[in-house]
Amino acid sequence: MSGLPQANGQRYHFDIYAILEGSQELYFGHEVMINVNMVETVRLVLPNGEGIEKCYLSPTKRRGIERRCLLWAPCSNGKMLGEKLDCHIPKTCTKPECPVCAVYGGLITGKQTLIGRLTHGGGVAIQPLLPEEKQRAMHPSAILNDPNTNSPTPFKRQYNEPGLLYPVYNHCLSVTEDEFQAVAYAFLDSLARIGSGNPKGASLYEVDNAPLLVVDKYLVPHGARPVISPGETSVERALQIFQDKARRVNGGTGNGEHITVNNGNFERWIGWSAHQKLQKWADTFVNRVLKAND
Amino acid sequence: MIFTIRPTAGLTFRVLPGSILDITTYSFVPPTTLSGFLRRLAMMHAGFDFPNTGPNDQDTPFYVLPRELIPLGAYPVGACSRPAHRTYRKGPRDLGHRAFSDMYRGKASGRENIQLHTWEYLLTDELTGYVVSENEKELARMTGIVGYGSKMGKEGYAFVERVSGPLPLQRTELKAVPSTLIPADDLFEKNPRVPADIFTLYSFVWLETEEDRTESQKKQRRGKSTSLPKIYSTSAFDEHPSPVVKYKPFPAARVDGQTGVMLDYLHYEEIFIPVSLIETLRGEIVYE
Repeated sequence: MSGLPQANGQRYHFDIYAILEGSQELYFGHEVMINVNMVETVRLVLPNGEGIEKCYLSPTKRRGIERRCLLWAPCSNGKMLGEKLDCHIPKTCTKPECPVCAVYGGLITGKQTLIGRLTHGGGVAIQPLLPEEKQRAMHPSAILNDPNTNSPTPFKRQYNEPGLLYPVYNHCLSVTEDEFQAVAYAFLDSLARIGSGNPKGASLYEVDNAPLLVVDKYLVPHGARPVISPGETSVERALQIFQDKARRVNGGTGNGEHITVNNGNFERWIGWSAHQKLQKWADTFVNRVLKAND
Repeated sequence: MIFTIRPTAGLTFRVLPGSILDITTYSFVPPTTLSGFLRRLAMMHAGFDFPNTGPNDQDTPFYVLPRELIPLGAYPVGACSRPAHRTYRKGPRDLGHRAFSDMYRGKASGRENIQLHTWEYLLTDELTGYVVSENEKELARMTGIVGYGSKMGKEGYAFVERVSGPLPLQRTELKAVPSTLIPADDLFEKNPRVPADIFTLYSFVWLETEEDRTESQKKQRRGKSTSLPKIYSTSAFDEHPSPVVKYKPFPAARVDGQTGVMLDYLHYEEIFIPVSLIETLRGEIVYE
């Protein structure tokens, strides 16, 4: 029915919910106006008719960063994973056994399609803080772009302000735990590489010394999903919603950071426990795939 | 029955026919998309894997709700991108190269041949979806999909947060704000001057199944056919493809959320569903 080979073991659905903080200003390219590099913003109309504009860490950009993190992952034989697998962008290998294509999908035009089972979401910043415009490559004596002097052209670049909070989500459908390990590795590895140009990097936002991070592994969704509406503008309210929903699991048993329902039909990890679980999966990915002797 | 659907991502419901380089989205969930989305959640609830409907298949299967459950689309509630969020992307014209993930590159051979795309996304807090049926029991079974989520449309992910109903609908003709789309012919025949957005939408064309045939037709058919009949889905919760053969286009209209229009409605409290929409989306049956 799915066209995929039968998995070696049970398939599950997995979700990652997190709130990221832009630790410094970030650039996510959008349009280029005359001499201004713009960042991507979204405009929303609220139910009261008021319009707001917010910075946006687009899910498609996070997906590209994550995929490259995997393709550029260091292997024990001195190659990068993409070279070892002969899997690239946009020339994907599209093999169901490729740890990258299996979850991120692949396409060989007209021949083979492997539908990705990982969807990225979220990204609309909570605070309605507009981007800052900065002057770059300014050279006071060479405003004209004279090819003989090879001088820089002045231009302006927008940046998302530091301290913006971005709720982000990764959803996986019908994947094995082995396949999800690549997603865990890519999610963690991509955090420091978010943004185009420099500076780069976002971090997991912490409240009371614990990251706002939830990881679900399930067959039946027993927990409320900690999702923040794109229209939410209050940080306080958004964090409250995230934390309340993270703790709302029907019929679960556990220690508050790891909750299990019905013999593992639903498992949720919260905060540091979720972070450790992702790290454990990422470690297994490194040992199983990147350090494999072949 | 009302489905409160919460998207977790920007959504693209590709407007067709459309352009390859300018991907535009409907500003709501089209009825056929809602049907496929809810069917997948029902299949996940029943323990089946997410079905593949990719182009590798010779005969692409459809996985949609059974014919007796008629989805009417889902519509944004709360904060919403109006118009849709439009992005600009540089995409490759040719996918047979590796330039976009190379770290060490010589002088570009030009193979990557970048072309500019625009791509639209609908961002919204919430969507309200409607499914109507004469079969209350089958409709009530759909309550089981609360909490499940999946990919939706061409891009994006959403989950069902709440389900209300089944709610009894009463037929009435009056001036009201419709909760859904309206077939354009019906709207303009009764309200010739009302301003509205017009879209091309699609309904299913169903293949006649064994259940549709009379006893004598079944006997005749058995005599003629030597091949085994294909197994088609009879419930949202089974694993078989649906007996859909194609889509049929129809012009649909959407009026803004304040304008009341005179139509023949089925209604429950503030929900007003044009009868003509249900009739159109019931679809056609073709006989082999």
